[in-house]
Amino acid sequence: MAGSLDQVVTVVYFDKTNADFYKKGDFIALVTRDAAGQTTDRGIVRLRRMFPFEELWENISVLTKDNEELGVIRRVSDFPEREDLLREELIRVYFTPKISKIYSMKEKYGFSHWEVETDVGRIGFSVKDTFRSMLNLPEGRVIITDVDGGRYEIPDAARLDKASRKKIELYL
Amino acid sequence: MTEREQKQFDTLRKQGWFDGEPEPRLLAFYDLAPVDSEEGQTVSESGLRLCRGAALIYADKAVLWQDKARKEEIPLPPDASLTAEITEGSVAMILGDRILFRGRMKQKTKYYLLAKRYADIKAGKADSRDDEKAAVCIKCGRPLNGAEGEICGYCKSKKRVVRQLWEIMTGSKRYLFTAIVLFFVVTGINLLSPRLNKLMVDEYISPRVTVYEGFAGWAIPFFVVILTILAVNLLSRALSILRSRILINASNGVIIRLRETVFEKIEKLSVANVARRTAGNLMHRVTNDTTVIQNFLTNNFANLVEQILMFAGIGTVLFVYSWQLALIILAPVPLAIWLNLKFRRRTQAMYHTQWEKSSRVETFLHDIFSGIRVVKAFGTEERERTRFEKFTAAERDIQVRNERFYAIFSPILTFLLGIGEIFLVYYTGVQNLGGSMTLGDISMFTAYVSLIYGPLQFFANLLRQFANMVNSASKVFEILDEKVDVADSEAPVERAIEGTIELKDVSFDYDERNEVLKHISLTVHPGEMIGIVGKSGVGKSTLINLVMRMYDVDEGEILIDGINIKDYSQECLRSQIGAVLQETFLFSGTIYDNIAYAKPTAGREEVIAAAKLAGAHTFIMKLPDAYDTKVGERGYTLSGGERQRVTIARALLHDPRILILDEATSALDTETEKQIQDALQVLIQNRTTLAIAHRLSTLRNATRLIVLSEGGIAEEGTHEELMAKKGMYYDLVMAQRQMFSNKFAKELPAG
Repeated sequence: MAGSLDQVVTVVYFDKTNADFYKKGDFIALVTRDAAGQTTDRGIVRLRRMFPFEELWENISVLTKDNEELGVIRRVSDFPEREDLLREELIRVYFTPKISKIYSMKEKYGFSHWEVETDVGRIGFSVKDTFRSMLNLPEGRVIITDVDGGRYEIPDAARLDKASRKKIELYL
Repeated sequence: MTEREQKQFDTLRKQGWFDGEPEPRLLAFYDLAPVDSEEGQTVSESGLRLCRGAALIYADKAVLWQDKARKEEIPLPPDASLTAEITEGSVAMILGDRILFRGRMKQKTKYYLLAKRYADIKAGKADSRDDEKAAVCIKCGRPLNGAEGEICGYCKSKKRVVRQLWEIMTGSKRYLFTAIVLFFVVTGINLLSPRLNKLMVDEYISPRVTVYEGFAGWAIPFFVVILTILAVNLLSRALSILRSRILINASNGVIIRLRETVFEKIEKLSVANVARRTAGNLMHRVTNDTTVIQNFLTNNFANLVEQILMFAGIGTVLFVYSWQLALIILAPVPLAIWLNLKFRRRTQAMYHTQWEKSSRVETFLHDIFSGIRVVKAFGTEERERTRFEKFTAAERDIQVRNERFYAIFSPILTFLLGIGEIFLVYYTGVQNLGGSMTLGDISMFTAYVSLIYGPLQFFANLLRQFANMVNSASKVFEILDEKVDVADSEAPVERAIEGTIELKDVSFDYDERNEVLKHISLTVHPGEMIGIVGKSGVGKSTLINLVMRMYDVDEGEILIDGINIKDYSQECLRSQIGAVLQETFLFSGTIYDNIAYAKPTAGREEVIAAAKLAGAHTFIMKLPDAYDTKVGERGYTLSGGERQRVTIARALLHDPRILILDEATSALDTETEKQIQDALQVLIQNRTTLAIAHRLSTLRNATRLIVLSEGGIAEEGTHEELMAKKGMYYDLVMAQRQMFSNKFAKELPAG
């Protein structure tokens, strides 16, 4: 029998039997539990999505401050009591205002300037190389990256109002 | 002698070239294409003149023809050897101290082959080599480049191209049939118009013959005629719109089918087939050429059918009314046909040249864009720009020449075709004055004549459109006709592979000149890891390419689990071989897509595990978009080591029975390499692994090592055995140790 992948690599998956999260100041911290039931406080950890565009609440990598992976959360719902905490932390890390209306979008000299209504209020931002900075995902989702690396999301371009959609039609 | 040569030979025999010859023992027949220099110029001391001709080499005699009249026979001394050499910018076939004949540089492979076969026959070896690679067109002597059949694309009958196109078009039968019916209807309606005009002129415009009763008596029929003319015109336009829509649907269907067929065919072709052409050239065929065909089908094909019907219809009407008149109008037509036929060959050649030039521009662009880093690294932007200008200028010059030709040809043809109109005016005028023709008749005839000149003008212009389309179509069909070098057998085997690889007396070369691998025999058992070592260019990568059946062996056979790899279906074979090759290629898409490419059914966890094993997970998680990061053409650019780790992950996910590692970890630092190697060590248990590495430490886990040298296996054994032998492997290891210790010594502070 040939060696198979899971024989060679061990990816630690966290669930409520072997891990627990708690709030520490403004951050999130991890406690792990080994097979013998011994717990270890790992301190403040960082959460990173493995598939930030495709899976928002699944396959979350749990890293130390030095980017060392401690384990992976399959689904945030695997921690029913901590789900809100995990979601909150992920929303904080991946702060992405959702665009509901586009007031104006003007392109000039390779930059485009946007004025939009989002779930966190009306904002303006600038995008360099509009075509490359707009990522079209399935089901009409669009992710826009601005000049500062900030992210904005249009949850479903098809559901924008007609006037808004017309402004970005070229890039969809 | 190949079948093709035999045919060429038989053709010549029929033409009486061998009258009086005893049955010749034919070794080879070769076309002597002229060298690129002045026609008739004497070449070196041999005194042979450069012109089209042929050469026949027997085992004991060489016979050269320059044309049917001039023939020279040269006895071949038994001890003389025939060699091919490149001298004076051309390839010369040299016998002893005499130059037999010369050819263009592009025929050099053919010449080398000839010399080789001559030597083989002299040595009493059977002439069994597959001669496909050196096959030439029986019409013009150009290399066939593996095209099926005996004539090259250039000489290919245009009728055949049209027939092939028609076969593809029949896929849209329903649309085409409807369109053709509509053509008949529209043409019929158009033919009615002049007849209605005549009625109008004779009844209501010319001095009245009929006397009408009151206003209603003339007004009602008059308005009926006017409305009929209007209705006929409207109906004709409406049906034309409908017909155009149907045709657009049909031609789009044809083109999509054609593109798919070409794409599928290119995918089926072997690496050797594809490598004969540049990527730019293939792109040109799949996109530009199919578009040319599509335009022709949408615009000109519709017109062609309509104009032919129109021409036939009006021709008949005219003949029925007055055959004299019809003759006057149609008199210049034979002249136009003759002119078209006369220039047909020339126009086709013109468009062929234009195609070549424009394909060259595309190839150049593709080359430069993919190698932009090299261009920038060497600061050769200026030089490349000059080259680009040269290529585009060449295309422009040809285009200007072609358009200039048409600027002269078209008006002359139009004038010739229009000349009948002058006679028409004269003839109808005389007839009208004589009273045998009414004004309505004249109006009708003039309308018919203006209608018939439409098709005639169209035919005058059709030639260029047609030449252009046929040229593009023949380029597309050239691909479709190409013989697949590496093809599946008739009943290919599909089975799970255990992993025993046997090479039995395998020889291979890329171009018939230098054998890369000579008589290699090797058996690899399941679970073994074989390290392949040797100098650059010795054939290590060729060997694994043969195992993957990227090429077919020239001699001997390769067996996997005792079955010849030619008997496996290629898909079955390659789906069980995982390869990490020297070229790390990533498609544009996300990192996840690139890893999962090898196994689209893999779940997220499997992909993550493979990435972890390949040492890719850590760097991927450092990217802002992690596995969703876009890589490739328009995405994030990965470093060489990162790319290599992604490709390793791809191969590992594939979970193959046979793993091929061609310098798989060369771009990694030693520490990362060791980590991956250790992980691989577990994974390759009971799998057959072939690994190539220059860094010999990479192969320390190999069960056996083979050292390739001069096309053969020079040494074989474990690391310890080969070190004890103190042969080539020992030298290689020592040389690397020396190098590392020197480097280390330099890095250490002095003292």
